[in-house]
Amino acid sequence: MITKYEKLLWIAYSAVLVILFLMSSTDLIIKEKKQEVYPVSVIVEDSTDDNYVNFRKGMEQAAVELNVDVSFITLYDAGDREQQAELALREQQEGARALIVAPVDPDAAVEFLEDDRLQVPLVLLHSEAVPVDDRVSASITFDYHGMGRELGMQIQKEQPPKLPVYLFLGSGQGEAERLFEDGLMSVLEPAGRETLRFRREASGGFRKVIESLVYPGVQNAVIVAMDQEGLVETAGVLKDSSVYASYVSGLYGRGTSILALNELDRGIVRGLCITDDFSAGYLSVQTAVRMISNPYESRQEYLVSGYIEREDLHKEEYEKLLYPIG
Amino acid sequence: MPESRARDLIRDISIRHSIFICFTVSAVVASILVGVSLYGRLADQLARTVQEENQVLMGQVSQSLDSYLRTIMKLSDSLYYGVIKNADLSDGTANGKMTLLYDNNKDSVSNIALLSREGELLEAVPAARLKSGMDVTRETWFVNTLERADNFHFSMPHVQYIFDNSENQYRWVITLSRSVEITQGTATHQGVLLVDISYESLKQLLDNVSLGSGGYLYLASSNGELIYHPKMQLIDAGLEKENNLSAARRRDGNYREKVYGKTCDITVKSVGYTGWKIIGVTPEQRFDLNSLKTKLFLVFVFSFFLYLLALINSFISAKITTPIQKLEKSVNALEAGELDTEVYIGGSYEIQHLGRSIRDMAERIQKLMQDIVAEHESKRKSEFDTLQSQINPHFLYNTLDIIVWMVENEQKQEAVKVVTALARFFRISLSRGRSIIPVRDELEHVRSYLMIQQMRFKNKFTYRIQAEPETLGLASLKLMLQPLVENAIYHGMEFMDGDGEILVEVKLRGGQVEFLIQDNGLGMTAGQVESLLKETPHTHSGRGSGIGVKNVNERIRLYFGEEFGLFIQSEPDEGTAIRILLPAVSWQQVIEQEKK
Repeated sequence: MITKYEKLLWIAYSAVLVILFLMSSTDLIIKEKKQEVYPVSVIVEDSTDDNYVNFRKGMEQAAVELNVDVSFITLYDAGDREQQAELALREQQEGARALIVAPVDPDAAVEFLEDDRLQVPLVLLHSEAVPVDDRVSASITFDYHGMGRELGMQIQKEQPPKLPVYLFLGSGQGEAERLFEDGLMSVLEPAGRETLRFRREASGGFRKVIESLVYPGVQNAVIVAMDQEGLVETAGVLKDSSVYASYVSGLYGRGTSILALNELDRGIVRGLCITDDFSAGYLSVQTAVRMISNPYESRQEYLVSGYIEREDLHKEEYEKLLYPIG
Repeated sequence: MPESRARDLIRDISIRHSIFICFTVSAVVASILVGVSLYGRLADQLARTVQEENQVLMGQVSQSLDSYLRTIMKLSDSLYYGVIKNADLSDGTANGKMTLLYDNNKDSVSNIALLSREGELLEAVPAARLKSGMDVTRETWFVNTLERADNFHFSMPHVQYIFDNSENQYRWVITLSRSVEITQGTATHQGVLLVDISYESLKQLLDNVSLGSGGYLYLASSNGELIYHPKMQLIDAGLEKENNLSAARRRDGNYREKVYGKTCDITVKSVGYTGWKIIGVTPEQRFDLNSLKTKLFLVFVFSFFLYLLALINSFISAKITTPIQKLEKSVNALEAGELDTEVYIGGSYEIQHLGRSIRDMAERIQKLMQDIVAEHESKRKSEFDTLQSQINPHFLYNTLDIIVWMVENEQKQEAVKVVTALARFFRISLSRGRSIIPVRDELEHVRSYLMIQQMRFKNKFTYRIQAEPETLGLASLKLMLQPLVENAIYHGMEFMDGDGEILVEVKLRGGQVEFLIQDNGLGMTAGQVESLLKETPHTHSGRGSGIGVKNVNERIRLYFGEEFGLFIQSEPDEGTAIRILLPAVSWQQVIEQEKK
């Protein structure tokens, strides 16, 4: 007594049941999502990872949490733009699904963004992402300009106004260093503070500058090391000679490497501009993974930075930032 | 409008579908209720089981941690009671013993140091010196230890910075400090024994504990400060959040609370001496069956269950309604007049009873109808019989008057003829009460009648009767021709000027007998012919036998069927021809059938 219409209904219902079964209990229609491993490459501008110790800790924590296979790559020659570009292409060819790059300089950042050969998401470190031809990118950076301003204000507050400020620049000038210097100068210049710029040409270059404070004339000065390498080198010179130290009214710098912090702890460095490198590492990897999943997601993150002196070093608010638990 | 359409749809729905829908809907509602209640119960059960397991796990972790801390405290005791107390530190033996104890515990201990009340480092293993300018007497842990000399003091995790460290590394430690008595020479002084617990070893102890997918545990001090958390660094940087302050205020047990928008099950367990709390966090959604495939599987199970229910319901509804549908078919046939239809009797008792009732009712209706037909037939028969037996008294009076006239005028021979014809006429009229007589008798009857009428009308018309010999033995209806001939005489001849002629002829035509009664009288218009067959009252002349043309036609159809009967052709002033068609059936055969 079943009508044709009813028969069709029963057949349709049976078919739906079969499809539901196949969908829910087999991999024929819906494939079980496998834990995906995201290969991500980090290419820094330096030839060592000394400045990236805390960054790597954050990066590794994110890698464990987000299932990322991170390759951390340093340059053979620090600040070599072409080499960095080649490495980026090589990493892309070798399967990196996202690149985290700390560009050698601002022009390099633009070159990366303009390079059509780079098809994977790009996260820039220490450099603001500039939209080029609708290319979506992200950046994780710090307010280096603000940091420079803050240091400038500290110098103005702590140091006699007549003392000149010696700026010890790195061998190349990255975006971070440029912004930091701009910020510093935006305070010192209007205040009429004399500033002298010295670029590290070769090893021992800064020692000669410090020696020049003692001989031939006698002059006191404030030194600001614009990068960590310069800071550690200068701190080493001052540590070795109490004479030189007496002519340096204050050594300031930027960085969170353990060497820099030890020099601050010893009192050789007067003040330090610090950054939350652990968070930068964590967020850069997290952003890279997000961009792999959603290539249209852009992100521009400015992280915490600050200025500390020796007595701040073991304060609770700074301790984990400077000495991440790894 | 749609409401009324829906109402119509509901009204027109079959009993089978009504039963099917009602059963299925009831079953689905019941299933949903049972399912929801079971799901809630199972989810609760699962949550409780997970909580219990977490509680057990947390208990184990708590025991491990307690044991770990007790080991450190025992180390501190060993250092104090075995190495420092009552020993003269100046003789240098203490350092060796301390080194031995340190070596045995160096996986979990970073530094061991003995400090004087003044903050002087008396012993340190591994060998170390205080940082230049470091005044430990201003350190909180140092002050607290000396103030509460009887207690062990556990610090919060921190980077150990009191020692001069030339290495490019730092160590996170938890400092266990206690007040000790130091003997130097003959004097005893109060000092502080420091044991730095390696944070890495504590971390390893807790890192390996997992509370299922998405679950984690952390360690907090009694006032909620984080000691260990898998995302400690991120929480400190503000990239992650934790509800540690409120969780640490709770007593040991299980709680459900919202942690920054996510409902979590929190398990709290205190750790022995320290007052620290191990807090396990399991996000609620981990208990839910929330993967797409699981959801689809639930939909499949529900659909399959519904499918089975629908199948069973379909079977039950068909079982109940099929007999009703069959019975309905029988009733439809009865309604269409097919009273002989066999009424379905089957299904459940009620349906069977209903079927029997309908069958009995149909039988009664059939019987009643047969009775009515029989009664009607009987009534007609008696009416015809009455009609047949009736002789118009006027006809009889006229005939007798003619006979009297003939006897008075001594026309004896003529009178005898008339009387003989009259006698024959009556004899055939009676025919033993039969309705069917042979054609021969019917012709004889009409001949007698015509003879009487011819004498009465003084030979005003002539007549001829012709019949094929093979027709004479066939069956004919009694008194079939006489009313027609009577009509021909009274309406066709009576007022005619010339001589009238009447022809009665019987022929066989293709298995049928054809009677022709033809006159050359006044004829009739079409209207008259029509009224003749209707036999309206004005057609009665009052002089005939009283049996009308219509009556003859009805009788023929009644006996022989609708295809037989009487057909009239007439033209005014031309005459009339009436044809009667009967089946060519042997009279003898009809009589035998009647007998049966």
